Amino acid sequence: MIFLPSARYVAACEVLARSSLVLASLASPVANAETSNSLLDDSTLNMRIESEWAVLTKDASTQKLQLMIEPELETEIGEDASVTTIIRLRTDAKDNLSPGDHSQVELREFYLDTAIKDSIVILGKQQVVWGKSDGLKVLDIVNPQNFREFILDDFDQSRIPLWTVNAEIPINDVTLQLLLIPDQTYHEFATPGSSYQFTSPVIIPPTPASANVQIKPTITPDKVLQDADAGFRLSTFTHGWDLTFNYLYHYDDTPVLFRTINISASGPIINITPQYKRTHLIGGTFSNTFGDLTLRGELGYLTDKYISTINTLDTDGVVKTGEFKYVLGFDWYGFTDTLLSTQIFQTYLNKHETGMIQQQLNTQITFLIKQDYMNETLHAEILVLHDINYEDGMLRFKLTYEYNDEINIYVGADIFYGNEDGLFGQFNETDRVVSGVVVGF
Amino acid sequence: MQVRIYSHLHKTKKRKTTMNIQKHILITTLILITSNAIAEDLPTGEQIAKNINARNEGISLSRKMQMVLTDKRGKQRIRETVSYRKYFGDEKRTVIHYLTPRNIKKTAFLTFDYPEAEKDDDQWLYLPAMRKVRRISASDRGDYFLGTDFTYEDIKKESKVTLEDYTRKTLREEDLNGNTTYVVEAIPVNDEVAEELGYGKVIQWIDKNIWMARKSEFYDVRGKPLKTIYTENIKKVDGIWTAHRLKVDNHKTGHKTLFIFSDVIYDKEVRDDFFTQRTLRRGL
Repeated sequence: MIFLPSARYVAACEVLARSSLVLASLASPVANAETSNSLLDDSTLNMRIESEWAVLTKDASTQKLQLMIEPELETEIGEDASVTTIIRLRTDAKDNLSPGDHSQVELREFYLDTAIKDSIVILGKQQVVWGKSDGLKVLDIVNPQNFREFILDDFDQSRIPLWTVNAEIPINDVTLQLLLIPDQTYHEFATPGSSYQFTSPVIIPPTPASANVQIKPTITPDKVLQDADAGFRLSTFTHGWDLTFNYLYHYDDTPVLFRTINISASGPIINITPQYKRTHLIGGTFSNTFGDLTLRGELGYLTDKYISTINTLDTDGVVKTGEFKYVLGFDWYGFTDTLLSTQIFQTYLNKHETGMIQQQLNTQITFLIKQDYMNETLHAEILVLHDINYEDGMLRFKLTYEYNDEINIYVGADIFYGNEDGLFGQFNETDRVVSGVVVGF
Repeated sequence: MQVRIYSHLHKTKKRKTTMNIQKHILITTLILITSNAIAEDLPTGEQIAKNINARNEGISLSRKMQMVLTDKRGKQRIRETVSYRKYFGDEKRTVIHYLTPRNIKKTAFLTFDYPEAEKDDDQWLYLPAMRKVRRISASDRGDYFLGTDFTYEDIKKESKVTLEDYTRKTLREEDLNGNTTYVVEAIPVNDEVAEELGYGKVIQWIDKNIWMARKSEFYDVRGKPLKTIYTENIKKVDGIWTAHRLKVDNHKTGHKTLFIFSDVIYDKEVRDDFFTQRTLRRGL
């Protein structure tokens, strides 16, 4: 089924388009009616409409019947500046992913991109993507993520854009990227009762069934500048190597679950106080090619990571540790129109105590096969993510056909397997078959 | 008497046979001399390849390109791109940005082509859906470039050729649509290179006046016809011979690719930072 925009919707888009022209005019040194008209001439409106239908394999019920409309307006201002506005309207006929929230309208991105001499400055709500890995994140944590669909959604869709000052400054052969993010938005987790609510004890510390658990309000940073994230990236290309050095001083996007236990006459009362805590991220990336093989990797160290513990003697229910993460990936292009890729991803906690819900060393591996057929009009993809520690994982198939320049059709399947206590195994009951149509113009 | 007659006849026949042999030797010798003379007149395949590569193509180039991809049922896909090429000494850097259609808009491809034969090129592909610049292997030169019938190697070399990949032989001089051409056969130097390029043989019709291939027939590694590239609408821009249409017929799949070039400008100031990953991400 192909969804086409209604006249009312197109009219709404026009209003949005004109609104962004106002921003463009403000950004321009000469904002007047004449400029507005020329801006309209310099604007490009693109549209992406996607409808997706997901059916659970366990009972053939519809898990998701979603329509997403994403207009993108880009307005050129002068020779080297533009304003980009992306709106996302999403509605789901089923109520499984965000119960009680059928439809959302969101300003996804809204930024001014301009050049100042040789430097680039991007101001506004945007996504900043760091790292080299596929499917797993080490350094790609500048923006938080929406987990309403676990990690099945494209990162481009699940990443939450933030209001950011982003500057890229070339210094000889090195590019310095500076980031200031005065936006206190964090991960959005699947709501209780939804398909992808986290239940794994690797993420949610288990509590005794008889205990009275009280969840206190989350302590969230609220000072715009004092609590802003800030960081930089140095990147260069030398002797065949792409190298970056990354640093980010930020709030971890997952709240720390501080716990206190009080003994009352009716039994123990467990108080959980979620609180966002700061950490330093220091890391880097590298990539190079060797014949048919591309080697890529990223590594990062978080100085202040808080891991929950089930040890009732622990006073606050968390253990502070450093966390070292890395991913090493190999892409092999030896067969025509085929990519074979594998990655190893490991996390190591440099302090570990009995009772911590996360093991000291965690290992995950991924395998990806991508193949193109019929002059790249047909794409087949198989992705496997496997967790060594918990012996669980996820298997994804996708077949996409480019019917023409405007319409793509796809079918696929998302299969979870293994230990139900694992990150992937917890969703064993949500195996599904998906199909969809994407219209872009 | 019969014996004498026979003997006379025999002698006459023998004399005629001797004369025929002499005649044949003479003709063969003449043919050999003539063909040697022609062969001496024809430049070698190596010389032609060097002349092709010596052709001026400017220090820098900017141009727009429309790609028309037509499948065997006649269904067309059209892409608009803008590309820049610039020499940094002997190193050639090329960048291509996709402008339309929506599903591949902002896709961009950057390549550094080094003069040293033993040094692999460096290539990057920006995929807007991933918002990441991906380093890609340049050794699989025979892969087709983003759904076209040109391989990555074809795209990279444009109208130039790689000297070390082939041994070349000039077959003949031939008129092709009113243009005098040298017909050159190029065979990959070994099986490994043939597999890498995806070609077992290439026959090119090189215009002897402008050192540009007007037609190139490609055969697969099994010797079967693979595709033919036609270089058309060649005219001078800023004093440099420039093809404005490249047409490929893929004989195996029935697919066709047409590149139409416009707004071709040589030696205009092209900023060095166009050839960086930063610009690849940001677009032009």
